[in-house]
Formats: sequence, C-alpha cells, structure tokens
Amino acid sequence: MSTAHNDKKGPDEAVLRIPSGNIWAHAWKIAAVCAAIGFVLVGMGWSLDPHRFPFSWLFAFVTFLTVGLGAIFFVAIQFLTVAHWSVTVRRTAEFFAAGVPVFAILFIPLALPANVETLYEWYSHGADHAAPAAHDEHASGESLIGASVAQAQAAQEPQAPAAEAHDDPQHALHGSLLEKKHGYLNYGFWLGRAAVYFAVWILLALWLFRSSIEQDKSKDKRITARLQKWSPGVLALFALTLTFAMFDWMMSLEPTWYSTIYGVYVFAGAAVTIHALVTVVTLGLKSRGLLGDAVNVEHLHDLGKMTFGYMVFWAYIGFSQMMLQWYANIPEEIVYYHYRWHAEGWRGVSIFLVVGNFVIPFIFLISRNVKRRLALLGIGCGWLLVMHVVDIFWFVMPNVQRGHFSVHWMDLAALLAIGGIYFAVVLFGMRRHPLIPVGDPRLERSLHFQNP
Amino acid sequence: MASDQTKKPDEGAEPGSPRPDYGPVALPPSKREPSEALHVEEWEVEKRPALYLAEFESARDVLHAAEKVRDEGFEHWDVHTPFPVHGMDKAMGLGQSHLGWICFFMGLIGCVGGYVMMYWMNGVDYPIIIGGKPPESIPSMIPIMFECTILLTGFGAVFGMLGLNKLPRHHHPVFYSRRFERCSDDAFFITIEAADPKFELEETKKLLKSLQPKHIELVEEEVP
Repeated sequence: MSTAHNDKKGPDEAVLRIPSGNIWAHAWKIAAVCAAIGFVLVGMGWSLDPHRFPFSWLFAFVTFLTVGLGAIFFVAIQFLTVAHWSVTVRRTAEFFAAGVPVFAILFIPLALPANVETLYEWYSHGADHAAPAAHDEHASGESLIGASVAQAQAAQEPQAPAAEAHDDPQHALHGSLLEKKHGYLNYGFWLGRAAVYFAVWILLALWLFRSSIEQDKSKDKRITARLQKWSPGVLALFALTLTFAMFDWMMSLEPTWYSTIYGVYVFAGAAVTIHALVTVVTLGLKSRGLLGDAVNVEHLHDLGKMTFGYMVFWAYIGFSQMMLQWYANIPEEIVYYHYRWHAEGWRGVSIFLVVGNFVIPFIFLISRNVKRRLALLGIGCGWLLVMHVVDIFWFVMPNVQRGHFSVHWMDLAALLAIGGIYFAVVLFGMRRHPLIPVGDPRLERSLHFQNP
Repeated sequence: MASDQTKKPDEGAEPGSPRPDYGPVALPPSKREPSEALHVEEWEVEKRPALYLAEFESARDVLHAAEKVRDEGFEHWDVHTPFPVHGMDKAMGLGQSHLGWICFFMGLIGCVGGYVMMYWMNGVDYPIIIGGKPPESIPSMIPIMFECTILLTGFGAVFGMLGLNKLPRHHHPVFYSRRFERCSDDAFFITIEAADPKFELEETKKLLKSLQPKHIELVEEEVP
C-alpha cells in the first residue's frame, strides 16, 4: 500500500557493477597476496610443528567454511520466507555462497591420514585395538555423587592440583567408548561422509548462485518460483550436512564427549557471521560509491536486526548446552567444559567469549539508533566477525594440548591462507556480476522498502 | 459557543455519501428522548467544538494531507486509518517513541531483580545444595534472570504503551461522529482538536478544505 511504489526510479546502472578503477576491483589481489603469504608461513609452520598444524588448519578452515555455509543459509531463507526486503543485499551473500567449492580443495590437508591421526583419537582406536579394561574411578570408595560434589568443589578452587589428573574422566572412559563408536568414527566412513557434504554444498551453492545470475539476464520469474519451491529442501539438506559435518570434524576432536545441540550452536555462529559480513561488505561497497541508493539505511537496519537476533540465539544455544552439561555433571560430558574452564588461560577465553560475543554486542546493538547509524553498525558487525574467530578458536584449540592454553603464529597464518583464498575467489566473482540481483521480480519492492 | 458554521453530528452527511444502515446505535445525548424522570433542562447543556474530523478517500490522500497539517505546526491532531500506512510516522512528524527506554530499564530491573531474588532464596535464606553445586552458583540462576527480564520487559512494553497513549480512557469526543465508526473498516481520517493552540474555527476549516477531503465535520462535546 505504500505510495512510494508509484514513483518508479530504477537503480542507477553505473553503481551496480564494480568499475575497473575501483578499489573493489583490485581487492581480490590483496586477498590473493594474503593467501600467498599465509601459505608460505603455514608451510613453514607445518614442517616446524607438525602436531599443531592440523589444529591450526582446522580452526581456520571451519572459521571460513561457516561463512560460506551461512551464505547458503542466508540465500535459501530469503526464498523460503518470500522476503522482499533483502533482495538488494542477497547478491552479496550469493557471492559468498559461490565461493564454497574452494573449501573442498582446502579440506585436503585435513584428510591426510597423518593429520587425521593427530587430530582425532578415534583414528588410532581401530577395531583391532584391544579394549582397555575400563578402570572404574568410582569403584574405589567414591560414589558417583561424591565425584560430582568433589568436582563442584574443585570448581570452587581452580588451583586444586588434583583436579586435572584425578578427575579426568576421559582417561577412564574413552577406551571402551571409542570401541563402540568405531562403526561411525573410522577413517573410511569419515572420508566418505566428507565427500557427501562437499558434494551437497557445492551443488546447493552453485545452484543458488547460477539461478540468480541467470535471472539477471532472462528476468524470468519462474526462476524465483523454482527457488522458492525448493528452498525447504535446500535448508533441510543444509541443516543435516552442517550438523553432521560439525559432528565429524569438530565434535569428534573429543570423541567421548557429545552434545546433540552442537550443530545448532555452529549454525547460530554461522548465521551471525554471514549477516554481520554482508553488512560490513555492503557498507564497504557503499563507502566506495557503489550500490548507490539500492542498499540504504532501511536494508542495513534490517541486517543489523537479524545480526542482533542471531547473536542472541547463539548465546541462548551456547548457554543451553553449557547449563545442561554443567547441571548433570556426567564425566563424559563435563570434560568439555573442564578443559575450557579449569585449564589455565582457557577460562579467560571462555569469559571473553560470553562477554565479547554476547554481553557487549547486546548492549551495543540493541538500540534502533545504533543500527541506523551506519558507522556504529559497521563497528558492531566487525566486532562480531572477530568474535566468530574467537568462537571457533575456543572450539578447536583446547585439543592441541589438553589442559594448556597456547596461541601460535601458525593459527594466524592459516587464517590468512584460507581466508585469503576464499576471499580472493569471492571478490573475483564480485567483479563479474551486478552487485544486486537486477532480474529479481521483487527488486522494485526492495528498492522502496521501509522499516515501519 | 457553537456558531452557525458548526453542524451537528450526522447532519453534515452529504446526500451522496454512502452510509450503510448500521441499525440502532447509541445516539449522542442531545438526540435522545429525554426521559420523564429527568428534567428537560438537564439536557440543554452548553456545547463547544471538540475537533474537526476530515475524511479522505485513500491512504495516499491522507498521507499527503498529514504532511500539510504537520507543516502547519499543529500539536493536538491525529490520523486514523484502518491499517498501518508506510511513511505515516514521517508524514506526521512523529518523533521517536520512548517505549524502548521503558522496556530497556524494565528489562534491566527484571534481570538484576531475578538475580537478587535467586541469590537471596538459594544462597542466603535457605541454602540448599542441588546436584553438588554451590548454593549461589550463577548458571542455575540465568534461566530465572532471563524469564524475569522477559516478563518485566513485556510489562514495560504493554503498560508503557498504554501510559504513553494515555490509555485507558473512558471516552473521546471523536466517537460522537457516526462517520468515524468506519475508521476501522475503510475510511481515513484526520482529526484536529480544539485543544490545539493553533485551532481556529474558521482558519482550521479552511485549511482542511484545502486538503480536499471527502467530508469535513465539526464534532462538539459538552462543556463539563
């Protein structure tokens, strides 16, 4: 019913493509240089510290993979909800989705048997491995409840020297548990599943991207109808592959620990990240005179709202997982938080994660005025991107050396290498296509979109 | 008070204007048959203009009309539409609502209040160890803090909204107009109240006429 529909003014074509003189036309070269430096450094790191390399690589790999997968989600959810507000910002996410195939190549170092062995305990616990006698800690005079209380008391005194060695339930349990999990957690099946995940992701990403690009030229409304029809299927496949990939690659780092909410937790982080990244990239494009009025404060305000919402969702899921395991205090579960709280240094990261990825952005981004003031919105979203890196670091790195905190220059180098390659591919694609889906039937509505 | 320009409610209806028969409705006191128990004198009350009610053809017309009324600098005026009209906030020159602040501070009170309550109950008044956890451990309080935040924010939103809108109120003179009944159906109105310092019986009517409404009506109210 908006009256604005009547004054038809199409977007200015000149600002919808990156001209050759613009910094954005050369950004992919910067990313490629970063990647080159990163690869050299990671190569050095690999030879110097072969134990740490796969962890660094996995950390950087998942950090950017979740960006790409988040982009698939972002695009598909717009079609599922038949959204018109997001049409002009959807293309940015489509570019990031189109970069997903590159991760299939970047996965190769992780799939090498030597690195799988370093990363995952279950690799060397084959079926031939004799089941070690599960020496029961609790049989020696301590009841299960007694152990829990002891652990709770240890929680009060983090310096208690016995806490780590004595209460480490991993030690007691993992032998027999790994035997039972061997049917799922074995190298061959693990590789096969990874192949399926990548096949699904590449298919989804390229289908979403190519359909939209095709529509730029043909202006065919049936393409939108087809995308809408299949978007529930896309999201179902996305949810299943993301969940199981994260079970396989991240959760099985601690193979006796499990959390059924794990996939949702990673998804929440991915959703925050892609919304924040689309905001930051869009602001960057605008600051260089691109997009014009096609993306204005109304669209960015909505992106800010979605970022804020998913950020709260992330905190909600993270807390749900933590509270259930903390309350139950079952040895095989609590071990995850044990390493992230009682180990020196990791407690600081855990607190930083809660404060930095929830408390501060919650207070900062809650106001409408902040979300509509674009410089502030950019700062908030940029901060959340940094916190996403910390989030994945917190997932992966406690396993490098259990109970000890360490940061290595190779972690940063891996981020440079993988992020550089991924962004080089994405930014290279950006130069070749319009920056908004010019053929979308809902483009006109999106251009005149207003927040109530 | 009422000059001869003023029309009584209903009399202003133009011949062609569609007005379906709504059946019996409560008539304004001036139109009721005085009951025998009451003295006739009691009904001959003094009246004064309460507001101008201008009806417009469409959402677009009322939006553009609102812009002009805004530019005239009126304060006590309002727009009534059957559905939200995009851009009306701007067209009416409405500032930002203070409701967000009310909600924020109510939420803050809820969050802190939830913590204090749980700390006092579980940690001070009746310390009890559940699952081997310290009695005043924070993770177990977070769900309650969360719920209290939501609860008080909700209260803040609902009661703050009512308070800022000066609701509930028993009555408003605009309801004397039968025409106004269609406001929740298919009609678009602008009202300018006599309480506005810029309100002039003649000038305001002239202004409203210049906006080319479908119909203008002066609604009167009794002098208390």
